[in-house]
Amino acid sequence: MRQNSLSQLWRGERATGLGKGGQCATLSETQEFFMLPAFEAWDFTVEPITARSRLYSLAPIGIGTAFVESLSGYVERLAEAHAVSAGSLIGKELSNFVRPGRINLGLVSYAINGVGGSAKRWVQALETITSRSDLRHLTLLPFERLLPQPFLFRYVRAWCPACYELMASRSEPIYEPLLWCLKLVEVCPRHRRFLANTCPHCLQSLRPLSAAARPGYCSRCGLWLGDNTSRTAHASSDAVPTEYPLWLADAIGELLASAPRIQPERLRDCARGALLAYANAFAEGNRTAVADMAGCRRGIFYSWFKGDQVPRIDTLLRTWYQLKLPVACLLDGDYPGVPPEAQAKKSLEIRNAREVAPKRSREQIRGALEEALHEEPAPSLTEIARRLGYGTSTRLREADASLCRQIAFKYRKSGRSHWWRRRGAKPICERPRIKKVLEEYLASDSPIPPLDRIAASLGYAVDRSLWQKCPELCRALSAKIEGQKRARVAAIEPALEQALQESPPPSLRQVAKRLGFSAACVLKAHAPDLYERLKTHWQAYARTRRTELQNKLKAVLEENPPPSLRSVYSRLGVTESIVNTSSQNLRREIGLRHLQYQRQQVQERRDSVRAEIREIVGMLHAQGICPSVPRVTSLLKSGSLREWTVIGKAVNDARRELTTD
Amino acid sequence: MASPPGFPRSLLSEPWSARLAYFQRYTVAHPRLIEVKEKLVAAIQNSEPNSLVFVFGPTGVGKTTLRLKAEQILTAELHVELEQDRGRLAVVSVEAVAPESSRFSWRDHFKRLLLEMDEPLIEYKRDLQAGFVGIRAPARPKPTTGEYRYGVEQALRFRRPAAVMIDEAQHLAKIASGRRLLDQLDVIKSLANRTQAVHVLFGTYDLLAFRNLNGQLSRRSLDVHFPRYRAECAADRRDFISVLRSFAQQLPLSDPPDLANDWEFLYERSIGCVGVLKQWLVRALSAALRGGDAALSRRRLESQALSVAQIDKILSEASEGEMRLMDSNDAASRVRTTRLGAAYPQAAARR
Repeated sequence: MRQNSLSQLWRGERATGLGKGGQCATLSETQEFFMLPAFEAWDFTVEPITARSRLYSLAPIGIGTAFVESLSGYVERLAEAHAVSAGSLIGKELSNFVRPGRINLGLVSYAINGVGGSAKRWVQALETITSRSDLRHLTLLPFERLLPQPFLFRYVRAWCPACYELMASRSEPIYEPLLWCLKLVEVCPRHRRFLANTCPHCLQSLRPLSAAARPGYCSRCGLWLGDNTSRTAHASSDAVPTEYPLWLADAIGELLASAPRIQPERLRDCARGALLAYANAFAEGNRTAVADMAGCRRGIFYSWFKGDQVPRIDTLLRTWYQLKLPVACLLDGDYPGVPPEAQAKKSLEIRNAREVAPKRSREQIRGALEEALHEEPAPSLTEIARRLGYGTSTRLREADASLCRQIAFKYRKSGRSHWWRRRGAKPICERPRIKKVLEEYLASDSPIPPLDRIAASLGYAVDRSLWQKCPELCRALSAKIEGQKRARVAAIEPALEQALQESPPPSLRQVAKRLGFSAACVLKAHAPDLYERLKTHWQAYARTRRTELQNKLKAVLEENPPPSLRSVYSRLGVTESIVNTSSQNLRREIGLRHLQYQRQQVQERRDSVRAEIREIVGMLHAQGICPSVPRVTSLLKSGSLREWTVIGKAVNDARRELTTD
Repeated sequence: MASPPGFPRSLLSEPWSARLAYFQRYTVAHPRLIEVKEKLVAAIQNSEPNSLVFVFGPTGVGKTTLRLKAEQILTAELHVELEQDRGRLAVVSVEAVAPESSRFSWRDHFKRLLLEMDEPLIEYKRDLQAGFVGIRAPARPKPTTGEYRYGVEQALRFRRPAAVMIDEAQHLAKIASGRRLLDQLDVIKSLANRTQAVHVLFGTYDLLAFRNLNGQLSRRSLDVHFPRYRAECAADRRDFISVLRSFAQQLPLSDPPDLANDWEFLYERSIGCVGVLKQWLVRALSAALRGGDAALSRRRLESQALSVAQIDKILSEASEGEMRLMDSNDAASRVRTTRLGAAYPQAAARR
């Protein structure tokens, strides 16, 4: 059947003029063939396009929100997209770009999300290899000027199981937010519970970026880390986070969300500007008061202002929390105005906490007086004095007598003065109450405030009415106050002498605090020699302590085996910053010795495992069994090194030796 | 009607290798090619993202040329997006290589696809969703076929090419029995489905075996037939002769031959496939240039032509394919009249 159809075809084609028969049929056609046009040619050149990126150009998630992705999470997600493990991607692909030589994953950890040189190198490498330009928002590099390098990141991986479940349920790609990498953040701002840091299945803690890491899965057992409601709740999830961690998580989230918008050069100035504005608004420029209020050491505060030190992120945020400042002004710098009542209330709070009248210049007082002159309804001088923190108006008169006279005149004219002479004026305070209060003070042992303060607390302008109403009580009280003052002053010398005997000697500020004074200059005023003696004594003590520490550190240099820096610190009971400021070279030497010792240990272990492998290979060969790598590994002793690159190479070397022997 | 210019006369002074290279590079845009190109590009652009397009025709008709042109067009159209998104690819083209044994090797095919897409770390591919591989594995095994396949899926998903073109796809049918043929195509189908990429399969008429394997496939696949020029048809004759004239103009010889005169002989030994014709002319030109001839004689053409036995084989395969196509078209009209019960005037006229 097929043959017939084929021959039919041949016949058909022959009939159209292919072959001897039928030529005449196509003669007319042949003539017109010479007039047929030729066809155009095709051009295959392709317009050149820029080279394609080596790895997929994955879009990072969440830029501009609090839950922005971290760079380490991005690398993990990139590895997942390429169907390779994170270790392969980093070791084979990224190592050429980031730095020459191999990358040790153990040292990489979360630092690539930070502000240092390694973060910059990784960002540059990844941006080159994926042809993207927005990857620096996945790190803290925008905050480089504001945050110092240490203390930023955790050493173990932390996550929120509920967030993973949320991502999975919404079929969104699963990723690791930058928020979870920071040491400061302990709660999830979305779900208001503590972050987990042990796998619920294998109960182990995980390294931040390991070779088998995958977003959302444990890197040791490979199981899902999301919230499995069938499991019993973890112990940590029963604990309810307090206010400060929640505020902290929210604040950091806000900072991260505004990262694309900030101008990095202005960051430190913004923080400084905000604090200055706060001090001006609430404490009339008194930065010490603000420092005390924030619970921050004064020296640190001053160095922030001067710009010497970069504030540590945890102290900075704690200050912000205590001062109840909005986080946004950390970045913008302009402190939003508060309503005047709140302002006044807050200033009063700060002022009362200080227990010392603020120091004002004559111009400041004059300015306040001029303002008050135009005020309605006209205030009295005592009111103005109280507002400025003084007990009476003496200082105001000192500053500018004529203005005071004008204010008093205005007050009298307004008709508000001498109100007690008017008909139907009620007494400010009833006599029995005055008596009660005064007796209470008399009976108590705590320091008694001056009489006009007591009068002010009862509502009077001056203490004249008190004297008029209960003269004996007032006399006794003022005698008691005098006695208390004398006692305090008298207590200075014995306290200083006792401090001289103490060992270790207390600092001058501590002695002042013990006695109830707010500054050490009071001591200097009343007992200058003792003051000087205590000062020199204390300085000598500090010097001996420092030399002791140095001697101890020098002794550590002789120790064998060389201990690590951290163990030395905990043994001596000091912190790293103390050692760093006093004896930097010793610290470096100790660290170096320890590092060399560790390297030596590793080398010894490698050598011992190599010797062991050589033995085993020889034994297997003698028995006639092929010494393959898994067989040799199974015969190794339990404590030996398991680095499989070393093992593989050692087995190959041993086998080569055998064949050459 | 102005004819396009012939070869640049300066070529005559160049060495013969340059002249030969010039002719080899030349591609004539004949009407059949243009028509099929339009159909193919329309099919790729208008079809659903997970569909298959079959392009079949006799061997040597110009399918690879068609593929290159389609690639060029698709790349040019996507130019703006490609500049914006540097991770994206325009087109992925790969050849389905004939296996040494009787079975088609999917593993090599996937590996070739990954190499074509410049995928890094091909030897380290792991299917992370299938199972957990810890970091303590002492000896890393080579990736399995499934892992390469997963790698290909991920690559196609993230690179989002406009089309995946598989040339010589008839080699996919290299398996034993008819049932497994469906399995072979299922692999391509599921790949197209999971990656939402259009797959275009170029091949000979052997691809027809794939076409109507089951109803689901027929629904989601498109056919583009690239036939040869048939001498029975007057229009085809005219086009074929115009092709000959175009070739004649581009032959870099000082004495241009008149190929249109010998058109019957040329048709006979190329059966209307422009690819076969061009290769023949290249061989003849090479022999002529090496021999130092100034013209292309009939003798040269005859010496370099394919033998009658070879032509017979090619023609029988082409005819068989064309018959199968006609059969299936008839089957379509049969469906219309008998199965669907409708009476159409065309069917009556054909009878």
